[in-house]
Amino acid sequence: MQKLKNLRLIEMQLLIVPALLALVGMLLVILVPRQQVQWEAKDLWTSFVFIGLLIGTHLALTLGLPKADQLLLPLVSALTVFGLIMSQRLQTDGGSRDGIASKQLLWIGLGYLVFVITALGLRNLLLFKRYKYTFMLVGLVLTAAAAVFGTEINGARLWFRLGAFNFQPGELLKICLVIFLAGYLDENRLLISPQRGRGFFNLPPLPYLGPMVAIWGISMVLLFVQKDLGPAELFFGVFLIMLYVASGRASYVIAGLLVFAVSSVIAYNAFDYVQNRITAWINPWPYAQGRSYQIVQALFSFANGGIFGQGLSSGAPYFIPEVHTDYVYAAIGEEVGLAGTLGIIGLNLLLFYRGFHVALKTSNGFYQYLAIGLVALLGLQTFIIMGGVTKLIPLTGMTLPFISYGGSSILINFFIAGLLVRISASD
Amino acid sequence: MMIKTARILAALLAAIALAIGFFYRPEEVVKGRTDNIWLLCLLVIGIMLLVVFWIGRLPVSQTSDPEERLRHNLQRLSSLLIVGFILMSLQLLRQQVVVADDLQKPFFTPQDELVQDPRLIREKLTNQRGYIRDTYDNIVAGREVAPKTQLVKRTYGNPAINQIIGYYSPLQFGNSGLEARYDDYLTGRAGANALVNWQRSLLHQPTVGNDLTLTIEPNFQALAQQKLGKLSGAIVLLDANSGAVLAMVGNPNYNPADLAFDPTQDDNQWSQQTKDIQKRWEALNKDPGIPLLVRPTQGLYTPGSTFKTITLAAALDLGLTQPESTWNDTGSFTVEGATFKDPNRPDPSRTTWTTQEAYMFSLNSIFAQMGLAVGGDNLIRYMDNFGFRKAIPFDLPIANSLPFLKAGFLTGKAAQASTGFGQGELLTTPLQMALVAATIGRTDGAMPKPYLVKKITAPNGAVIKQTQPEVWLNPIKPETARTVRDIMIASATKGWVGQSGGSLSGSGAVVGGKTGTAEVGGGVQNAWYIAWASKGDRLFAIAVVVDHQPGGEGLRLAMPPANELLKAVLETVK
Repeated sequence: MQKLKNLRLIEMQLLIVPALLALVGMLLVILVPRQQVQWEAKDLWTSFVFIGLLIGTHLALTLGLPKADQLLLPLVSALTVFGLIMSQRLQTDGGSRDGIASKQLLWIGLGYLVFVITALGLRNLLLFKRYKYTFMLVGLVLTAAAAVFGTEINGARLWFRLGAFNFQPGELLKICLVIFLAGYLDENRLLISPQRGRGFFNLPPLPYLGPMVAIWGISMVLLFVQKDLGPAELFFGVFLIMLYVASGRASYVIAGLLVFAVSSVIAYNAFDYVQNRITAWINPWPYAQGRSYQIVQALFSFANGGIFGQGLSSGAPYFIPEVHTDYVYAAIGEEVGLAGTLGIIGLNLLLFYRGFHVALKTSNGFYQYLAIGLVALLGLQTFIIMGGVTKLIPLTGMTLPFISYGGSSILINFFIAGLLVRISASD
Repeated sequence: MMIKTARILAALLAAIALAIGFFYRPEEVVKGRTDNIWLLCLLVIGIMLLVVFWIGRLPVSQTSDPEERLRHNLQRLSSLLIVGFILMSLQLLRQQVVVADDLQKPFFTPQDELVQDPRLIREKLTNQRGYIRDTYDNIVAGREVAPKTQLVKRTYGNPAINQIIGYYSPLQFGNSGLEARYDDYLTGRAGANALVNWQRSLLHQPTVGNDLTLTIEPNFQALAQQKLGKLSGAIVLLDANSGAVLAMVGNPNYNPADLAFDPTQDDNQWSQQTKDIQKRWEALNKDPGIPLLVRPTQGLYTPGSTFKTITLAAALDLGLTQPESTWNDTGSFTVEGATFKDPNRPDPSRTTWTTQEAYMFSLNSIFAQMGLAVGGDNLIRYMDNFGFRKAIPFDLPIANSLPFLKAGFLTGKAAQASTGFGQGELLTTPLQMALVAATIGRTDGAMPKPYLVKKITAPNGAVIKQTQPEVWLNPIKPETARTVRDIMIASATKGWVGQSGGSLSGSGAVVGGKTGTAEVGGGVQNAWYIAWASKGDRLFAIAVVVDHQPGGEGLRLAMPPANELLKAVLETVK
């Protein structure tokens, strides 16, 4: 009996879903452009590789971490398979997207490797806590280096070019920030207990004020360098969430939001690109042939999807420029419809709640904050990019975790998932 | 308790905000594509949902138990997360379902650039829309497929039939007329090939529509248009036995070809083309002549003396009078202080006239008395019997004919009297009056159901739907119909109509007819003529109206075109 308990049967059963999705989705995506029902097994090689990755990861967890959470891997895989199918689907329209499916598969493979290494290899996560300042420093230095020496892509200098691939240190900086905050907040836990000064507009104690100002500063620098609201929103948002969870003080959050609002207003008045984003959000139509071309095409995409979508490979999401990275959600909206977009929201919510569950189950304060911070990172990034392409909030360039095409994004997200699995296995 | 109420209130507010956001869409919002109201509603929904989730949940924890505190804080954080994604789902629901159709309409930026969904253009413009043919299978509305792009252009064959065909503008204004009524068949969504077409549209292949065959006789239609000339008005010619419409014209009208988008043109001409069409559309809408109104079925006119046919039928059907009963006519009639002059008597010295003579010479005084005798309730009842206040079941949009404008109008005696000879507050359509003539001509007291589409055929020629002649209403008893018929014949042979050549002598037909001259104020009149003509086993009914003309007497303006048309029609009957 004890042996059977170690088999992770729930995970195994749940993994059937992404495996089937990979087969069926890929088959559709391959057959529809051909207009005939005729295929060979080798057409589906990406799906077989993907299923192999699922089996391998599952076995590795069964052997190495039998007690770890069983829902995280299936949820992450279900999201990932959408990304794989969409990259195969979008490359058939040719152009600059030629061959992105095999590249994406390579990244996903590396992602699962990172996942397994993180989950099984990082035996002592508490080391992270000890070296939190180092992490923060390394993240900042890398980002700064990219800003100075990096390659400029789409107007932002945030990339290192490594051979054929681009690497974005900004992605790493997010993790460093969360690790740092988790360690820092855990360390200063007593200073910030609710018994201390309860006045509403009391200045927060120095241990809070310090990082608050520092992170606000980093966000502002990012805003300047990247010429985008997104990273600033993400960093400051994750910070406020972790601050709130640690302190339970809404007043800190409100104060933080006020600071952010004021600096946003200043940014709005100072920078054209912020203004453009805002006007394009309130009404993109007057500039539909110009600067808001992309978002308007995305709106057409969503509108065409209706409830059940046009069917995989039967829509025309290729009218959206850069559809495979930031706008992949619009392509899903067109081809799988409201059913697909809501389904992805559902999968994400389940993933976040599983992450919170992991945080509540562990008794170590650092692990709790780390898990919550990582989920906040995923949740906020998902919300910002989904909200951007659906015109719920002003658009900011960002990848949709696990789904968008892109190397560093996939690796980092699998790293996050691996950390969550690792934490779930610690008692 | 307070908390519960507050929560319910907040949920209610969120629901109201959602309803407003989804369904309150004034024209300028749809046209300008502004989302301010919706975004505001979303904000309200978000705040209200947070209230629902947060209020009354554990007060801010004072316990020093860190587990308990973490749980509490996480709970609040989760509700924030869930509210965020609920808003996202609502946004998706709106973009993908609620306003999806509006988003796909063309939009012009302030710089006058055309913005349009490239997919929709392709799907709609590759549909091989069905042909519309006249009764001899001549193409009235056709298609032209560009060989390379598969894009389809709507072509038009016969300008005289164009208005009832309606415009076809899938990308800009939608469709009208037959193009709108039979859109499902014409696109192929309905009909024998519906399943095949659904499959093809899923696979993004061109779909093929079904064809319509009309009852329109192109020669009669062209003649009717020619005889109406430039005058404002309408002509409706029916086969009174079956209800088939042989000719139906209205003036002023328009040519749907002016509003047709030609996708076979070069891509870079599309924007200009759409703009030009938009300009023509706006001009048509501003035109004081209202060319977009299909007058034969939607034009409402005071019927004047042609309405005496209904008053007479009501009085006879109720047994209130006989053809030979006599009435007094001293040249004017006064009731409740209202005096109705009677300029129509052929012999002003004679004061006693029979019912038949009153109809033959259109004596207003006597029909005023007849209206009083029938009474308000019965007038309304017989008008309803003849199809007033009902939408005539027809292939084109219909305006209902009206017995009065203000409820209770016909309780007044003066109103009953003036309605009796066709004034009052009466408003009626040319098709309605043609159906009245048809009912009298038929002798069975039945009103046929009019129709314009004879059959619908699949692209391979298989018949999908064939229209069978039907009776729509039975307004009066058959014997009443025969009596009125005899009186109408007398009118067309010995009355004012007969004296002006309304009997169509030499045509070999029996004809009944009645003119009308309706006062519409401002020194202009509506000239009317309704008639039926029977030859062999064929029976035709016609209604002609020429509106708002100075000196617009029925005899002078409406009867001559009707006679010309009837002569031509009767010549085709052996």
